Amino acid sequence: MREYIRLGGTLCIIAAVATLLLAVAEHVTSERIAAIALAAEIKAMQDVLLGVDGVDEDTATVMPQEDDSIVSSITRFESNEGYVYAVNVNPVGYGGPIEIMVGVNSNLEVIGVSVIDSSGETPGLGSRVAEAEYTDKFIGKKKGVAVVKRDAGENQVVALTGATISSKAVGKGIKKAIEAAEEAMTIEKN
Amino acid sequence: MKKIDILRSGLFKENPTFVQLLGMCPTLATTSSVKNGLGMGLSVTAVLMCANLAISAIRKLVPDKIRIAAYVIVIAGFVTIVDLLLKAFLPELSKSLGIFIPLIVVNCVIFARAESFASKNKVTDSIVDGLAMGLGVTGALVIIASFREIIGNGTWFGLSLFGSSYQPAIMAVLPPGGFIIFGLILGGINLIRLRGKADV
Amino acid sequence: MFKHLLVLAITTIFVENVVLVRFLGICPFLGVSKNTGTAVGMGMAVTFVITISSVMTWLVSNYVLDPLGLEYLRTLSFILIIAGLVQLVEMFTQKSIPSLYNALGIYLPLITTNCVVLGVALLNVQNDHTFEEALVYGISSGLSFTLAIFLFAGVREKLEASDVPQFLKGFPIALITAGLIAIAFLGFAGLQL
Repeated sequence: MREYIRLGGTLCIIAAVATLLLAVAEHVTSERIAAIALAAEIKAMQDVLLGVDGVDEDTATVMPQEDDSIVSSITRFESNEGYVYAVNVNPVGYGGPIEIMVGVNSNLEVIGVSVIDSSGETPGLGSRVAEAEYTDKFIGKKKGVAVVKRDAGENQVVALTGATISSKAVGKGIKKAIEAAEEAMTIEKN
Repeated sequence: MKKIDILRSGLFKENPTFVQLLGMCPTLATTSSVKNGLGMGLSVTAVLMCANLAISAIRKLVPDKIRIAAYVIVIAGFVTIVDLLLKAFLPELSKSLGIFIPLIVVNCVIFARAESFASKNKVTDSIVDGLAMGLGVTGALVIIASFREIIGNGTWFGLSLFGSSYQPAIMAVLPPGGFIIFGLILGGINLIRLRGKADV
Repeated sequence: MFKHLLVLAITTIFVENVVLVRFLGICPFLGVSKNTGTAVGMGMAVTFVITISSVMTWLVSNYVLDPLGLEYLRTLSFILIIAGLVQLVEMFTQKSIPSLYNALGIYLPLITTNCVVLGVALLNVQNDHTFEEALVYGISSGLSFTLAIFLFAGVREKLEASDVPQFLKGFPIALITAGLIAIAFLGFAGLQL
């Protein structure tokens, strides 16, 4: 019995010291980690709303939304062109969620797309969805936008060669973002 | 034991990746680019040095029966610290290595060194051993990643090597390429070894 | 809901095979695949442990760590849960279900350091899985591992008898074989789910 207490006691001490060290490490890094995430989100919002005239950053309002696993936040800004929305979506790509900021205007058209995090995608293949060459194709697209393998129609975008899953994930996220913005508009009207 | 011998054995003679074939998951998963491979290697090095130091320091205090559990706690603690530091100071790298950073906990290289070296040797020797083994892993990952990134993406450490007309063999950065290229590198090492023996 | 879980299971088993696409559990994949019998035994043992561990780690993460703001203890607590669980399973099966113990027992100690188990637990958190999703993800990851190791062992049995160049014998040819199987699995990426 005493043997067990000694063994258990030693393990507890080791675990306690480890936990203490971790708590210190967490304390030192947590603010910085939060700040980095926030800065990335703000930068992405600025990017997607770049083309809009007279966006007033002080009018940022987080909009209510229905529970949805893909949409993480909807932020509304006032501008000279009426309300514009920055929607943060996280569709699941090839290797985990892709974090995307989508700018939507009050006509429910995409005005900007910025991929914040596509690190789960294959480098050189899926990771190319973050490049403007791909994301710019979505500008001006409307509700129900879809990604197809070839022969893009009216409201469609052609997927990147060899990166269909990542391309489609981005498309799905953008489609959801437009729907979320529409939802936010209707909730507000009621 | 001489420090230089410990270093040499970690880098070459007992290289954890190429000779002992330990820690295969990160070896394959993080070598699709040189940057990731280097980041992973250095993270492993940091954990190895810290874990070896701590385990060597407490080796006489920990009863034999619970030593494995104690090692697990020590290693998991240092892995989490490295994880937090990467998130705070190198967020890009932290994102691209993803769960393979916390998975260093179950990397056999670290267990193997704790059990076979740090639990039996002096603190200073153990730190040198951690450094040597860590650099051995780092070197190996960078070599594998170089092959994969150059063949599969036409770049090295993100720098374009052949201009825009080069059509990369994408397969090399995809999972199958990882298996095949690592297999061929090991085969190449064997070939050199066999040649060496034949000459003597 | 059911359709969603089915898609998750198929994706995990085929499209994103834990071993061949996600590179988890390579060590036992290469180490315990000399013949199909042991490969299946290992696979079953992993599936068993992974299913229980993903449920347990999910509960701990969502009901203990998150409410208390102790996310930084995640890796530490998960690995301790897994190590403890493997011990418990070993003792329990040895006493109560000796037939199962005889079949899986020798693989159990190897499972603690199998990164599929910890990897799945961490991915459940990272991908914000619900309880049902975590359960399905656990089982299908285990099956995914079993499928990969079974196929690989099948090829390796044949490989034993073939004339491989001296410098490729053993590990190198095993890796190249794994790569070829992985190419076959790339085909599943075309599935429209």
